Amino acid sequence: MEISRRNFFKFGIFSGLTSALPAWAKKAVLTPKEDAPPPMGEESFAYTICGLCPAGCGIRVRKVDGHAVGISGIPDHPTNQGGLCPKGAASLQELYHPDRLRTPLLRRGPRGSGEWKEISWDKAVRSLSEKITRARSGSKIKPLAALTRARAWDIQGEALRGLADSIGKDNFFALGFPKSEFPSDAYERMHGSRRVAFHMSRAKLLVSFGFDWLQSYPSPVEAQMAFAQLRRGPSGDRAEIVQIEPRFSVTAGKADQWVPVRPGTEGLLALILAKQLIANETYDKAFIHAQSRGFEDFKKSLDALSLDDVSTATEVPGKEIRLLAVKLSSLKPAAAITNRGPLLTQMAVHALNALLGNIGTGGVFSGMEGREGFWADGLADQSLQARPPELLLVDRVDPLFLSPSVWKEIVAKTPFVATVSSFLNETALSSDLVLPCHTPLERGHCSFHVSANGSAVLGAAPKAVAPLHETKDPGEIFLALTRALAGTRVPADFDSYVMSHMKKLRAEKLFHESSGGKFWREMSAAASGNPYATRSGKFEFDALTNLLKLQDVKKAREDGEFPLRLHLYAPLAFSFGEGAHLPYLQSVAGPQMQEAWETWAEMHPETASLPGLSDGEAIWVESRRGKIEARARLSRAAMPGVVSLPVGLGYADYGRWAKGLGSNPLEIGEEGTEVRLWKA
Amino acid sequence: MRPRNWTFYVQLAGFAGFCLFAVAANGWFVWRAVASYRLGDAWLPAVVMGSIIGPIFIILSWIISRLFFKIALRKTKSGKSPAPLEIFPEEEVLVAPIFEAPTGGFLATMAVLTCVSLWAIFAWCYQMYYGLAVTGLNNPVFWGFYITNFVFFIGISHAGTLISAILRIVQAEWRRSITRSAEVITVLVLVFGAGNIILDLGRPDRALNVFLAGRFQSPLMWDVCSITTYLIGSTLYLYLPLIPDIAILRDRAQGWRKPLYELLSLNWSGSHEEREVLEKCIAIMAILVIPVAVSVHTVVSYVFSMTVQPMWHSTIFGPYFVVGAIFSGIAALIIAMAALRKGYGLERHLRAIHFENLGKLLLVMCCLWFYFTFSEYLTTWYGGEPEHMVIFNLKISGPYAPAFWLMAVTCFVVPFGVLVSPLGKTVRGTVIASSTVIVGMWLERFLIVVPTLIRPRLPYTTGGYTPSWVEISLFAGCISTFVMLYAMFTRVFPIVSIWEVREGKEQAEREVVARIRTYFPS
Amino acid sequence: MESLTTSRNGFLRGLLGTLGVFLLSGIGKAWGTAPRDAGHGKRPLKPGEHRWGMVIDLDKCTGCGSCVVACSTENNLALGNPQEASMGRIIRWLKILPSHEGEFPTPKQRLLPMPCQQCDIPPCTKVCPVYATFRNEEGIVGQVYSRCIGCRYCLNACPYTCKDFNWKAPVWPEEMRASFNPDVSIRPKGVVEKCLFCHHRLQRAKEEAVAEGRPLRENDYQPACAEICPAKAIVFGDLNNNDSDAANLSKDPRAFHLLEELGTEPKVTYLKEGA
Repeated sequence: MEISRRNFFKFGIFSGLTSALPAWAKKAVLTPKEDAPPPMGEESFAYTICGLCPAGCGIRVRKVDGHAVGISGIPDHPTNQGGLCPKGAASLQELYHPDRLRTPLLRRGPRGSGEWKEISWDKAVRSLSEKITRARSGSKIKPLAALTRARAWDIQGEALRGLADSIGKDNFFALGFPKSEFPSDAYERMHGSRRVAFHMSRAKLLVSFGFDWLQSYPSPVEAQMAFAQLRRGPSGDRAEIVQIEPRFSVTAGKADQWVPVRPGTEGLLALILAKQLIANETYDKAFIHAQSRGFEDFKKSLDALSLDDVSTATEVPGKEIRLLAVKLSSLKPAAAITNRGPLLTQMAVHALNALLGNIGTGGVFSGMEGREGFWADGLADQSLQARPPELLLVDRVDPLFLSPSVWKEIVAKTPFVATVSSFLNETALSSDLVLPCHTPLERGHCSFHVSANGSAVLGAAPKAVAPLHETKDPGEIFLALTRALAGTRVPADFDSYVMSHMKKLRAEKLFHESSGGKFWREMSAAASGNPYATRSGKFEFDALTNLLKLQDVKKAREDGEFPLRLHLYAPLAFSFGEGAHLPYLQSVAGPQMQEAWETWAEMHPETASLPGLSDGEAIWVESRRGKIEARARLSRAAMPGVVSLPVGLGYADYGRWAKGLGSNPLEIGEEGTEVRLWKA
Repeated sequence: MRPRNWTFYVQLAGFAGFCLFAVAANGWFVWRAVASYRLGDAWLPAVVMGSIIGPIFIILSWIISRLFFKIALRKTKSGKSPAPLEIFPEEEVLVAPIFEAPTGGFLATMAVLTCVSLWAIFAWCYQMYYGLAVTGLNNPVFWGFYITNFVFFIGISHAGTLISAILRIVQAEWRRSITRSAEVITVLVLVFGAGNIILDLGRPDRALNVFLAGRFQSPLMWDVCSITTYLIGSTLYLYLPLIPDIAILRDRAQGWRKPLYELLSLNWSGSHEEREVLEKCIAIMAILVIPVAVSVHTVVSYVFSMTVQPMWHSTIFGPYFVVGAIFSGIAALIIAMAALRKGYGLERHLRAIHFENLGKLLLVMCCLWFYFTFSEYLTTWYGGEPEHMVIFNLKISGPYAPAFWLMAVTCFVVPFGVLVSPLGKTVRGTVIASSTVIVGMWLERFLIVVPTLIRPRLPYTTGGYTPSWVEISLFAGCISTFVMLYAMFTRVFPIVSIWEVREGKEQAEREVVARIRTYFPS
Repeated sequence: MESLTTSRNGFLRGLLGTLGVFLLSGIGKAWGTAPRDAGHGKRPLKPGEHRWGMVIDLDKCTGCGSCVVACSTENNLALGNPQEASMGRIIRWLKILPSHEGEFPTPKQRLLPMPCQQCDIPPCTKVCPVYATFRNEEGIVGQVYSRCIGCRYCLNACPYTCKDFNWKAPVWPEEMRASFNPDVSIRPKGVVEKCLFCHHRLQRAKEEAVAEGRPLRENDYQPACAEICPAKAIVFGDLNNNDSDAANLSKDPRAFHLLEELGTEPKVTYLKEGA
């Protein structure tokens, strides 16, 4: 009796308590299972090329019910071996970005006003081809200039070149981001070819002159892979990494030694190191004797350079320079790398490679087969500035963001600008016609990439997902234009155009087999014979010697109105200046100071030079050209006298996550520009 | 047998309900222990907690049953209703707030308080809708104002029950006119203390999960148990000495008050037997609530000290928090008493000696507080563990130094100075000391909660914390609602115990003389 | 009234009786059977059982942040915005944490990818009042989003500060909902979330293994961060399997744990920088 009553009470209380709960509470409290994930649909995988940058990594796209829901690297792919960079990992956000352009836009208000009229594709292509026809028939000046991004050969670029060729000559240009490019100007002048293959992981000593290569390498994944190889390669050897750079960058932090140097004086440092090698007679005499031309003149031209002067100009202690020279000659092979900075720096650094006997068989650098087919040309600026075209066709590149000082002028002088882009970037915003294109996952790919381990990869893959919006493949647009202009000789549609090129490359099998996961063919990039394509067939110092004669290399330090020097860098998240439109990339922008979602100016507390400026305050960075706002971040690791700013923010539109965020330091200058600070 | 009118049934329901609740509470511990065991988790904490709290609830239901059987169901002499209890002329001032219309000043104050409270309710709705994003909290400062207020209010709640119980047990005769006002503070402020935890929850709609999925390894669960027990215990402890006073009011009241008093007075007639039963219950409760009260603030401190975070992980936090709680509690009581004395003209009942005696207690707690604070900080500094020193420096010389030194001044320098001076014997002096102590103790809680979170153990993430308007509004709302409820209580029940004071005057003198005689050789 | 009194005593007796019986039987059971592992604390594992762990080689890691983005995509993490960033409310289960030493011209820097350390003795699960966070039988510290009351005690108890709180409901543009990983639920506002070593991948791998009638293989299950790491600095595997790379690397002389002195026994091992 008692027991049953007790049980009754116990049970009754709990059932009473629970049933007395209001329905919403019961729902919230009594369902301890996790919120049900969306129902699982049909899962499939597509294999394709990343396409967000020139590297050409192989990716696997996980699809559920046709929606792309996951991205991972392909472990067998020779370029990325399963890895991906942050941008590759964020490519779904590019695909599904809510602010992607969906229909062609025709400008209505004044340029840059953001007033558009949505028009149909037919009308857009028709009006553009009419514009081109009129421009061609009309005046003497250049009717069309086509501008694409500096990158490896691909089918879309090929279509654009076909279009440009059908209109005229010297009208196909490529624009790069010099911080993320190889020093191809030096290669061309000293090596005879704009492309030089190189085996980064062969180096025992890697000295970088101002190249924040872990963050800004043209193939980001390969840079990280090469770093891991240099650190803990299969042989167990450990290469030494020296970083010469004005900023304590990620690379400098990971390097064995950081040599802080005044912005823009890296070339000077390379020259004095060359002089030291020559003076110590520790350069590769056999190599210089047999494979170079103009060494004696070069040696003579260095006479004017003294260690003390260079030490003052670069702010690197003389003792450190001497030790670095010894290090260079004792660890073999030692490689000197830099990006496409000032011509002097490019050539001075590559001259070091020659002095170290680094080029050719067994060295880090070698000549390359297939020297054609890379869209890169540094001369677009000058030639177009002098003679602006009647019509500018911009293909997925943002010249107004990457080089505003030059391109604002060109765009202003060009009567009609058409831009192919997925987003309203700076150039699209100032265009007359915007043609929305597929994002890489919606595109078919056929492209050729050179990797950092001396191999070249030909890849061909159909699109990974069906296009989400009424956009078109850039190649499709160019082909339609070509057809409208030139008529019959052009294939009827883009697919057959792609197939005809595949056949030419004997790659149609790759294209069809991509669903099986292997869509590439790997070949050696290194030339089998003479690595030099120069007229003499040797490595040439002449161009550097001539430049040294022309230029007074050791500029005196000026501390006037603008006492500080600007240093610019591209965080990996914003490699090639792009990426600010993807929120996941924004949050990894500045790992060193946990900076994200704003433009921050890194400087030494003593540099701040403003009384009472504290960490995190808003400041103006002003040069003679203008001023931008940034958040001051004081770091005791920074080099005094230098203000470092990241490139990649400061868009007027470019989607909701980039719109109006931060500022673009390229607006106020470039590397080494003199600046001063104001409290905002 | 008393007539079975509606009050009887409500009282029966209350009694039965409480007994069922006590049984359910015991069953709950068993259930949670079994559930923990089934999940492979440690079941012993539930058993330990259950075997402490369970019996307390049984004792409480036993006391309620005594009230029900021995007072409410008491057999009256057939046919004769007891003589109405009278109010002596000198006690009229005590019931004046109940039977006289409120003054304009009172109504104006209430109106202002209502506005503040309504604003706070709006702020709370705003927070419920948008989530805790509307606060100043962030990663890594996950706790801020709400938890500070929780600790602070729970501390204040030690004003009443604990002080009153201790004074009762030691038979301090001067307690008689102050215990009621103290006990009310406890009950009301506890609600706000616990309420601040609800404010702090990301999912207040799931608050019941602590009962349905409770896990006794968590110090928060210890809080839930301890505070619930304390709230129930102190409500009962407030109610017991109220019964004779309610009976006195019952016999005079008209209108809506009449049934309320009839229900709550439990048919009290003031007979000797009733008194014996009641006083025995009060005595038991006085002993019972002391460990419960001590446990409450101990487990509140355990929430912090059970973690490994620098300057939280301290062994003296238990007693340190209890001392701080009593310290701030006495201060709150002195302020409340001064307000009552001024507002209701109770100078004859709340006399300078009461303030002086409480002031002495405050002085003792002030010294104890200083002793604990000194020990805590000296130990940290002398040991010099880097992680601890980071937090230490934040408080002593970093961004929190102003708050820290203000705390030192308001918690020790000013009250100590005032209370040892002749000013300490006056009402004004004790009120000044108490006001600074209240401010200082709030700062102390804040300085315990926030700086540790600003600099987590791993030096990578650092944070900052500025409370938002929502948090400040809700703090203001808690205080205003508390004051409002307190004022409303004084309008319904006498804030000075009529019968205890009366009893003191009638019997205590004789008893004290007799007691004192026993101290000396006969 | 008499009967009422009797039953009151009856309650008491019955209750104490049950309590006693329960105590005795409970202790007996605790002795008789191996304790299960849902709470915190660890137990010796038999061969074949799994104990998932991660090794992060700081010598290879470049702090590139691929792991952070891959983790965000895989687990449908809230997007973030400048306001949240300035308030320190960006939710990332895996963060790159910087630390600096020294000054110009010889500063030192360490970039440390930090997922949940997946402690064997987690300080966070201990303090949860509602079983919303727990350590499962394979050592992964889980979080039940739909039970969490959002008290944030676990966040404060975690010495690594590596859990996150949903200060508000995540904002997802309609277009981006199509990119949700269907294996992972979207967290509501007001709950705590954390790195689960991509537990959903483990579940899928197990399902596949069962479907194919074979035991789980070493490489069947990799979290998104380990899979994507371009420098191959993150190695993931079964620490209870002596043949796994993760198990071997975790015994490397360079190996260390964060805040080892606290005795939390993390299953994320770091390998020191340098030779």
